[in-house]
Amino acid sequence: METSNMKITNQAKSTLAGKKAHINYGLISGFIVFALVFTIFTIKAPSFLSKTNLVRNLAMPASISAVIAMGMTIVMTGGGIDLSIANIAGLAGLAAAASSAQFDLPFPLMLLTALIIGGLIGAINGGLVAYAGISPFVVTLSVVFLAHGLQYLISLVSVSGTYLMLPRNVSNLGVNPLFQIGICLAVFLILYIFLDHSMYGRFIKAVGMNLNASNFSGIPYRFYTWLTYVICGFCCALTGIMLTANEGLARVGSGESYQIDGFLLPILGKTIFGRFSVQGTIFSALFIYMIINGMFILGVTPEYVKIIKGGLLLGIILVSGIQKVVRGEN
Amino acid sequence: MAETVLEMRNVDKQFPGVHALKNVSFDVRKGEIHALVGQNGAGKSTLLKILAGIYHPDKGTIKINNTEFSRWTPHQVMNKGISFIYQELNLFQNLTVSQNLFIGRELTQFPGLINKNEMRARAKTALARLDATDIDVDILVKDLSAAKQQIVAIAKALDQNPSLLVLDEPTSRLGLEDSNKLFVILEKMRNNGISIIYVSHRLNEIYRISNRITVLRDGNLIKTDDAKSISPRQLVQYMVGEDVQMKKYSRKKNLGNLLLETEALSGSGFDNVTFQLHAGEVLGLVGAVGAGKTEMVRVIFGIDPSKSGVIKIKGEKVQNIQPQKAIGRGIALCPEDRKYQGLILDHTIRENITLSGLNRFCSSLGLVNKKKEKQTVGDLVEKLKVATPSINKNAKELSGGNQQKVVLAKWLCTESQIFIFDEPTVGVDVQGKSEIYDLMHELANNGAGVLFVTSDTEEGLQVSDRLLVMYKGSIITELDPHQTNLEEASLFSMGGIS
Amino acid sequence: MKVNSQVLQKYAVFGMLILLFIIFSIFAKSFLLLDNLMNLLVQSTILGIVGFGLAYIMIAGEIDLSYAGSIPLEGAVFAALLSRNTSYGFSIICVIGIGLLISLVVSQLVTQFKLVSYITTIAMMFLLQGIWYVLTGGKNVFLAEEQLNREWIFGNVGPFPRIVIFYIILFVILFIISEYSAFGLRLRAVGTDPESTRASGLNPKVYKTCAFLIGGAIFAIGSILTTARMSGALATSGSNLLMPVMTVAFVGQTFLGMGRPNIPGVFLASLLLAMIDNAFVLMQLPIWSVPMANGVILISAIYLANFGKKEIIQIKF
Repeated sequence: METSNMKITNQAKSTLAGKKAHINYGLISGFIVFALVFTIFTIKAPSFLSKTNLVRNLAMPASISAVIAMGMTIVMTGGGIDLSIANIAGLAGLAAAASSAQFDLPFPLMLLTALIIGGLIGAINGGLVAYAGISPFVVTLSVVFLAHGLQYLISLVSVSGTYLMLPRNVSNLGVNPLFQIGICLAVFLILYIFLDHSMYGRFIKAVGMNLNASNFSGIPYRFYTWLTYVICGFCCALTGIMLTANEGLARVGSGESYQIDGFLLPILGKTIFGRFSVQGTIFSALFIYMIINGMFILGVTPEYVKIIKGGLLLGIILVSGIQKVVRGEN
Repeated sequence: MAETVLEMRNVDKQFPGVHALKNVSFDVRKGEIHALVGQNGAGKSTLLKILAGIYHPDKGTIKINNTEFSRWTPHQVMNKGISFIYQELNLFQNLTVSQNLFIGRELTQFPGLINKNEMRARAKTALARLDATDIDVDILVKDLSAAKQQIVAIAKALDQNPSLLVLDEPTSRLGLEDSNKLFVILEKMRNNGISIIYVSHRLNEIYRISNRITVLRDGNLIKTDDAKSISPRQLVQYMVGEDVQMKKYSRKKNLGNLLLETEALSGSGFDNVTFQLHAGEVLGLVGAVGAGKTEMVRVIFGIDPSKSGVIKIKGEKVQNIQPQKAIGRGIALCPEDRKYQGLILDHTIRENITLSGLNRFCSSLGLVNKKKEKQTVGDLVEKLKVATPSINKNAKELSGGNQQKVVLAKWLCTESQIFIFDEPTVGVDVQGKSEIYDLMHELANNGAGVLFVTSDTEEGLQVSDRLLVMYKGSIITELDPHQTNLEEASLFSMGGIS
Repeated sequence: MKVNSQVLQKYAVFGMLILLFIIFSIFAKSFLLLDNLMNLLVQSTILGIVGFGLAYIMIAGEIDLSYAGSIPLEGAVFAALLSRNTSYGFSIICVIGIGLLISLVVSQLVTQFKLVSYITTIAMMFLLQGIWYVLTGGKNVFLAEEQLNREWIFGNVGPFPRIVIFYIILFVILFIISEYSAFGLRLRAVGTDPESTRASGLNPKVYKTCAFLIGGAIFAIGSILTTARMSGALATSGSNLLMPVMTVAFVGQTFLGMGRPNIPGVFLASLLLAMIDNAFVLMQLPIWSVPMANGVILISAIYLANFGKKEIIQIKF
């Protein structure tokens, strides 16, 4: 016979369970591992802690990677995926460089050109996904093809040779860490406020979590899905500029190495922080690039970078899969 | 003593917060059609899931054809000759009829290739057993009508020579004629020695074909007896229980403006529905599962398109309604599936509550005024008595009743005057239920119009000012809760006895 | 004019193929020569074969993108073995074994750990690319004439190069299995409705694992053929295949109104891509136009095939 005692016990049990779940083990372990690795590197490699190293070899590459990954983060938050990020970045950077060479544009206009291209492609991606109902996979895949082709076209039309040199002032800017880190922080700030403190961010999160419920709540879900791809396009374009300026030249296929980062960083961020977030993505960027930087100083050759990143991504997915099973979601 | 094909003994099952089955012992004889009835939450589906091996009971054993089991798996149950046909049918929509019939036990010729001709022939024979020779075995299941799909599912089960067939709400998608055809088939099967467990809400069906009836209520087995020994009124009484003294709500005296009106509204699952909702009233809409209530609500709110008919909000005709438009005109919907349609479980209570009315908390740039949000949400949580230590907890950590309150709170943040509640008290305890009823009436007293949709006739009677009854897609009658009683209302919602 | 969207969905892509064939016959010199058409076929073989592997996995309701990492890796292993004078037989078995091992791991991650297949296989792809880089130093592994007898594969039997005959035989076998065998039927069932499959007494995990293994073996065969074709294992063999193989598998779904991944669709789609490649070269169009044409084809094909269905598709992580 059920008594009120049994009822109370059951309720108490579920509250306790609720309390336990609140302790974010992922976050705590993430920070602990970060601190641990940081300490190990500091001890084993004296040059790790130098200002030059931390700024030029860690923070700068991490910044470039973080910007494109933050763009992907927005798309993933909205429930989508963008396979074309590396190509948008490459195309935008190349187009900006080419048009600046062709029309002798000052840097701000170069930047604007890139942003327009990035936004345009993002709008196409988003339009096909949100309004034509085509799988983001297929859409962004096709755009990879298209963007690749366009890159060839631009390079042929505007350049003799395989690369395009940038004007001095731009390449000077590109190797200036303040520039790169500054852009990254600016993007972070804007996207953080957008995602966590604005109405639009809330809607995007809602659409990504539960499209159905968003519809029942009156959110124009197609528009917000579209928007995520446009924002991503802008971020990719920025990265394209950052990369191009950093290398001092523009070439076909620049940006391709950031394909992995676009997956790795947001997902690592989600596993540690619990949700997709730009904070998580930036933290992951620092984390990954710290590992790579440290290993490099310790003598591990760059070939291993990809294995490390690939293995880490796989490991993280596995961990989050196990987390889900433990929480009983599967 | 008639031979039993299934005996379930002392089955007991508890879930967190609810004792679903309390020491239930249930048996089915050979060659009988045994109806299993009870209201939503009575324990029918839990009992069947335990039989199917999907749930494990805390206590209890089963005996199938003289073999006892204290633990059992779905595979074992299937091998022992029990077949289940659920409401979803579990057919492969994109495969042909004959493929569906034989998947898993395909007729092959060396080297593993499907013997198409033999399979087609066997499929035709299987269908012929049910007098369904008009079904083409080569067409895809998705191109068949609901009734024909039903028959294919039964043919599939029959071809495996079951000793017991369990049917869960088989006529929910069938019209009168197809239902009758189904009954002829079932009776034929029974006469051939196959037993059937038949779960349904429809009284006339139950009396048409059952030999015995078992009634469950609140996890208890109330009665098992021959169908002819229980009168319909008695049956309803068993299902519904004693008339508990419950609070009656006072009748509204002055009805305000006409807020919501439909004229001959038809859509998928309902036909020719006309009703009016005024400010200041709680209009109840009752009917069994599958009667078309939710389908109609979804069309009014703009989730699904209508086929024909008119929707008028505050006197104005509305075309091509979408959720955003409906909300803009003042409609709020607490949907049937509160967990996956009404809430975003992984969002906090606070985020959920402000979701639909977020622009009221934002600056012109779109930045959320978190202080104002916290204040308003806090007030609402307090007013609705949502039991939570913090508004920053995830919605999924709340109990059913509290989740429902959060859904309602969401709409209180918008400027709605028309509130539609679709099955708001499912899975909510007695205390929570009464709080929700109070809230509905408070809304009405403050000038809103409330449409209260439920398949629990008792609460419909208890809470509404007027009561509409829906059956198989149409509104068949309007009752005055103060002039009718539970038996009569329940009879109506189950189609009455012709 | 009301276009019947059903008809459009079913036959648009096939129509596209025929139309382009006609256009190319007119505008591309020597397109219709037997030599050229045979060349076209050869070009489509490797793409088609790898596409068959992906199609099997997609039939079972999953996806596997790791081939872009496993093919260069397996190719490098194959080339390395041959350059040390290992027998053909043994080398082939080794490579297929590696392919099966990789697929086994992926299949268990997906079925037992319930991980989402494409993000997992994308990660696996990166990992394998990394391993490949470490093993080869990023360099191509070339094979000399004595170490690899190309004639054997590319020599002719009658008018057909041996590889084409192999391709067609493989096509017929895989086609029959997927469309006419009990196993193929069950794969399709698992791919469309795992719940009902369980209700019918079958274990979805087993069938998905089989699909991954078949795919993995076929990818390995693809890597062997690629290595043979290029007389060595190239660094770009994986990335060159990544997009085109996905294209033929997705576009192949839309051929012949199937609306689902299928073997003949992949065959035709590979022909389509090879045809564009071939004709563009004959028409002396610039190289950059080929990937663009591929992109346009992919999008139009999928759009036409899904004409009218407007539900947003979301990706779960």
